[in-house]
Parts: sequence; structure tokens; C-alpha cells
Amino acid sequence: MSLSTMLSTMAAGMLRTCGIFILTLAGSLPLGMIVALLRKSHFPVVRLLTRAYISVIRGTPLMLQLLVWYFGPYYLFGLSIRGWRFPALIIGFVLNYAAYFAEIYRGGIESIPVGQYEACEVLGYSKSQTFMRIILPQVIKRIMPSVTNEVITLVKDTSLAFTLAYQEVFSLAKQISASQTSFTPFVIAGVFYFLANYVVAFVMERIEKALDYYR
Amino acid sequence: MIIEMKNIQKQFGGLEVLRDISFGVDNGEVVSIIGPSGSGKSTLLRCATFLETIDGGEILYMGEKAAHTDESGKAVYVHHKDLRRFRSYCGLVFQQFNLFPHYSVLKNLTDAPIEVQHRSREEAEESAMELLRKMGIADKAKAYPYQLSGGQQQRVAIARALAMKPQILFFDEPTSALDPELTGEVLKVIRQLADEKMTMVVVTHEMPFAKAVSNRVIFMDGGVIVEQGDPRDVFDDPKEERTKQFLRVFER
Amino acid sequence: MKKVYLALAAGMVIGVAALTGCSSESSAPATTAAPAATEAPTEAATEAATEAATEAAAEAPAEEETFVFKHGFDLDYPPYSYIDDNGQTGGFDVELAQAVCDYYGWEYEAVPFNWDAKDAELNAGSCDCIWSGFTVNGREDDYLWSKAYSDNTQLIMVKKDSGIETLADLEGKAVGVQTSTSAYDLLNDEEGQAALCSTFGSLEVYETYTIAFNDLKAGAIDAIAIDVTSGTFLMSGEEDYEFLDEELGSEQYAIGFRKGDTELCDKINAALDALVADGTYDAIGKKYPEIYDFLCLN
Repeated sequence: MSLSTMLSTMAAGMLRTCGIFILTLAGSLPLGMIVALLRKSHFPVVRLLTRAYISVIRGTPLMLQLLVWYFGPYYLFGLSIRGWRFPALIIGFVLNYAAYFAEIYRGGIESIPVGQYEACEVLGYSKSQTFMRIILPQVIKRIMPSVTNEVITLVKDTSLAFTLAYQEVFSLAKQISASQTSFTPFVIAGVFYFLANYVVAFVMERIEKALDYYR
Repeated sequence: MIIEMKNIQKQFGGLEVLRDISFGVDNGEVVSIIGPSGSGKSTLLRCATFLETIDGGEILYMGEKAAHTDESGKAVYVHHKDLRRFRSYCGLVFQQFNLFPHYSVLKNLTDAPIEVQHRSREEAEESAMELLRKMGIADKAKAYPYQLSGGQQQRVAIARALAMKPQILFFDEPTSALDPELTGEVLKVIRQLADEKMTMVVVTHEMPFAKAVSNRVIFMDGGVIVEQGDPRDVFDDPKEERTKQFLRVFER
Repeated sequence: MKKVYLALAAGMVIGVAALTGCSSESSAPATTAAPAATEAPTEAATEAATEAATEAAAEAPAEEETFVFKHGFDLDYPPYSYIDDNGQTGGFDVELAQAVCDYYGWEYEAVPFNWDAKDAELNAGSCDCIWSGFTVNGREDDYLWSKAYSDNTQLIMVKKDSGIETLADLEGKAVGVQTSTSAYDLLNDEEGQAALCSTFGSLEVYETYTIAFNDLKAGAIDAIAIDVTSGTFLMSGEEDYEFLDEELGSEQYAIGFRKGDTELCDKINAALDALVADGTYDAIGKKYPEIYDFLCLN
């Protein structure tokens, strides 16, 4: 295999990696906020369920969760799982990361001094105005470092898609390495991951900078 | 009367913090509340501004009932939609300022008027600038709270409360979080408001200030009003033993 | 504040773009197999195949839709199933499976899976068979097996100047093997070579043979226990390595079906016969010189 073929094949795999990455973030960042809010729900049942969800997700390996999401429909309900591979993969990643983001959000929300809520109450803000205008912007600033950590972990975690034989860049690296009896694909994959994380770190730094106008 | 509180009772986990307190404030009146810590001063303020709910008693604003006690002895508040109207009658200045750190000084003053009271941006900004000029910090309009001194922050907080055009303004120990050299600038602003006949209730430990500025002083201890009246009477000739004791500590 | 909203808005735009952009992306792996599928065998073979296909179609009950044959395999197993030099899904098993599909007029669907999850994939029906250099020996009762189409032997690979010439010389040496392979199973089987294995200084288990081979090159291990086809594939282009003459064991490759899928198994067996008869099997085999000598149907 020529180096250019290897690069283009793996670049296609990197696109799939980016696909997992972006879809996971697009799903889990908002879902995590919903979970964080449900965890503070007035209904004990809802609180209990969200806590159970978070503890199961955080207490089991992502690889196992991916297998459950993919094979579960068949083994539990006898449903056909044709065409289910990619959706199962994204569901697995989104639900996993949403649990971690939910805990980050919760920590962020709880770190906002109660005086901020009281000031809002006295000024007549509604609950949703209080959250959207006053609390959330401050939460976002406070959680940025933890979120950056998670996002960088996600870039590397996408390689777990090999569990469901989704040909993202790391699966391809393994396969091409086997067929070419060479380590070069792993080096290329490493460079791809590094570049991806470089971009991620750059973007996150810009966001953090943009939020640096106050303390 | 702007506000009337009758037979207010409040407990925290079985501990009675307010025992049957009644008091009212007339239009244009400046009332100082003094007393040892734990006497219930702050709780009274927080009940008046609806941050805490009362367990029993009545709260009236402009003669209208915001909360009362029903036959079973439970305190009942008006529907939360109406409560918003009652909230708009009062403003509160916190000990810890509680400014919004992510908003500029100007935005701290205009956000609630625009978002809550649906006033126009132009009008809200104009009146905010007017208030900032009055507080002597017009040049800080574009600054963020962290760039200001404590005294400046508290003046912004006062301006923020005034921007809502309340009928009455409550102060919860407005200078306690400030370095001594910064209390003067805040007290000066409150004095200025008193001269303009702004109705105010100030919980404070600044006795000379309370004496000089207020029309009436209330001494609270153990969840009750021990003594109240003209500041000269209360400070110079207290009737109650507990008042004398408390004031003696401050005269050292 | 505006900046925060800008940042949020930008994030959302990226998210939406990804949602729309990636739905088309996700179909890519399935289609990569297609070009390889069109690689036609010889003209004669095609002709014979078409003839046979018409016959088969006449016999078979009229099918409403084209049967989709879902070929389950591991892309980590050259040269049976792997990513070829053009970056496409290929290999002897893949080409043979495609030839079977051409023979019956079936639609071929490549289902690359993770080898560790092969049984779950087969049982869940995401694929119709496991056809990926799949060793029969030791698994005789676990699947419904087609006829064996390839032999294989397990050997020991060493550096030429290592001084190791017999299995007995391996005493005290470090030997590498890939996990989940028949060589690995053999070394751990009491009835296999467990006794020999106990004489090794250590048995190093690797995720892939590529890594094991690099360790052998680097001198971190002294030998590799490997099946001859994978070993030959690894050594191609390398001068300094050889197999010991003594065999560790031998095995056969066949296609594993779900028990009870006799109809499909019979059809594949029949197609294999036909493809052997018309020379397709041999023609595909010649493209893979490393394993050609081990093919057992021609």
C-alpha cells in the first residue's frame, strides 16, 4: 500500500472519528444539562432514576455499554439490529458522556453562591430568567476547564468504536497495520489524534479567553 | 404605610427567630434596626422582601395583603403572579453586594428593568446613568464588578436596587463586608437618599449613622422588638435594661 | 455576554452541520466493499457461474427479493480478510464469498466485526456466517460448519541466526503469540501443546501479530507461535526469519453458521463445489500466494 493510499484511507477513518466526536458532543452537552436539572427535580422518583442512571453509566466501562446498546435490542426484544450499528454507537457515546457532563454541570451549578439567586429573586427575575441569564453563563465559565478535559478524553475515547467494528481511524490503523505488517498506521493515527486535540484545545482556549472578561 | 408586618412568626427547625413581631414603615420614613447578631434583624428583612416565608402573621404592602394567616394558623401567600407585583414594591441591598459578575455595571442596573419590567433600553440606560452619577460612579458604567472596590460595588448594588424604582428599600448590614475606610462612601449615599425622602429600612451596626440619619430606631433582641422610638430617645435615654447593655458595648 | 452567545451559537452550528453531514458519512464503510465485489473472475468462470445460477434459480422457490448475504469477518486477519493495498476491504475469504454471491445472484453485504464479539454478531443475526480464516478444530460442536476450504498449520517462527532449531530448544525462551488465535489455544490446551508451553521461559500474549513480530525483530522475544499463513504473510519481504520444521499442530478453516441454518450451509457448500469446478476458487487463490499452497479444495 502506498503512503498516499494509507493516508487517504485513514483520513476517511478520521472523518468518521470526527463524526462520532461531533455527534456525541452535540447530543451529550445539552442532554447532560437536562440530566443535571432532573437530578434536582422535585419528584423523588425522577431524582432516584437520574442518580441510578449516572451511577450505572459511570460505574461500567463504555465498551460494555456500547455492546449493550448494539446487541441489547436483539437479545432483550428479539429485534433485528441491521443498520443499528452506528445509531447504537452514537446512543452509547451520548448517554455515557451526558452522565459525565451532568456531574460537571451539577458541580458548576452548586458552586454559584446562593446570593446570586437571592439577588435575582429580589429583582423579580423568573426561575428560567434566573437560570438562563444569571446562573448558566457563570456556570459555563466555571466548568470550562473540566469540560475541556472531558472533550479531549472523548477524542481519544472514539477509538472504542472498534468494539462495534465501526471503522474509525484507530480500527483502521489496527487493520492496516495487520495487512501491511507495519507500525506506520499507528503513527499516522497518533498524529491525527494529536492534531484533532490540538484543534480542540485551541477552540476551548478561545472560548475560555472569550469568557475571561470577568472574574 | 408602605409596609406593615403584623404578628410575624418565623422558625428555623424549631428555633423561634421571630416571635410575634409587628412593625410598619410610613412613606418617607427612615428606620434603623439595631441589635445583637442572632436577634432576628436580617430574618425580618428577608421576610419583608419575600426571601423567607413567614410561619404566621400578616404582610401588607400599600395596605394590600401579600400574606396572612388562615383559620388553621398557617401563613398563606397570594398567588405567585401577584407576589411578583409585591416584590416590585421593595428593593434589598445585601451585605455581600451580590452583583452579577458577568454583567458590566451598567448592565447590572438595566437588565432587570428591561427583562423583568419590560422598560425600554433607552429609558433604562438613561435612568441607570442618572443613578450612577448620583452614586458618584458614572465613570465605572462599563467596568465589571471585579474591577471595583467594595465601596464602589455596594454603591452599584444600591443603584441596582433603585433602578427598579421600589417604594421602599431595605439594607441588610450594607457596610459590614467593607473595610472601615470604605464604609463612609456608602453611608454618605444612604444619607443622601434619606434627604431625598426615600423610604428605607437599614439593619446596621453603625450607631452614629443610625442616630444621625433615621427617623426611628428599632432595637431587636431574641426575636422581639425590645424598644423603639426616636433615635435620640433610644440612644441617649434607653428605657429597657437590654438596650442599655447593648449600647454600652458600642460606647467603648 | 454577547461573546458567550456567539460561542454557544457557533457550537450549535457545528453540531447541526455534523448531524446533516455525518448521516451520509455513516454509510461509507458498507460501500467500501463494493469495488472489490465487482472484480470479476475469469470470463469462463463468470459464464459457468451464470449458467449454474440460472439452474439454481429454477430449482429454488421463487424469491420475492434478492437475498442479501451478510458476510461476517474480522478485518484484522490478512490475507483472508483485511484492508488491501488500495485501502479497500479484500482478502481471499471476501473474494470467495463475493464469488458465491455472484454465483447465486445474491447481494453481498460486508459485515466487518470485532473478533471478540463474533458470536454475539452471529446469534443476533447481523451476519449470516463467520467466514474469516475461522478454525474448525476445537470448535467442532459450536457451529454448523461448511466443508473446509483451507488447511493451516501452527509453527514456530524464529530469527535465522537464533540457534533455535527444534521445539526442544525453546526451553527457557520467550515466545510470543496473538490472543484469540488457534496458536494461542493450542499452547493452552492440555491435549495440545500445553506441555511444550510449560517449558518456555515465558509466553507473551499480544493484541496483534504485528506487534509480536516487532518484538521479535527487536529481540524482546525469541520466537513466535503462529499459523503458517499469517506467518508467511508477516515474513514476506523479510529475509532473516524462518519457521522450525516441527509442527505445533494443524487445523482447517471453514465457514461457521448458526446451528440449524442447514439450507444456507448446503447452498454455500454447493457453490464452493461449483466454484472449484469452474476454476474460480483456484483463480482467487493464486492472487494470495502466501496461502495458495494450503487451499485444500483444488
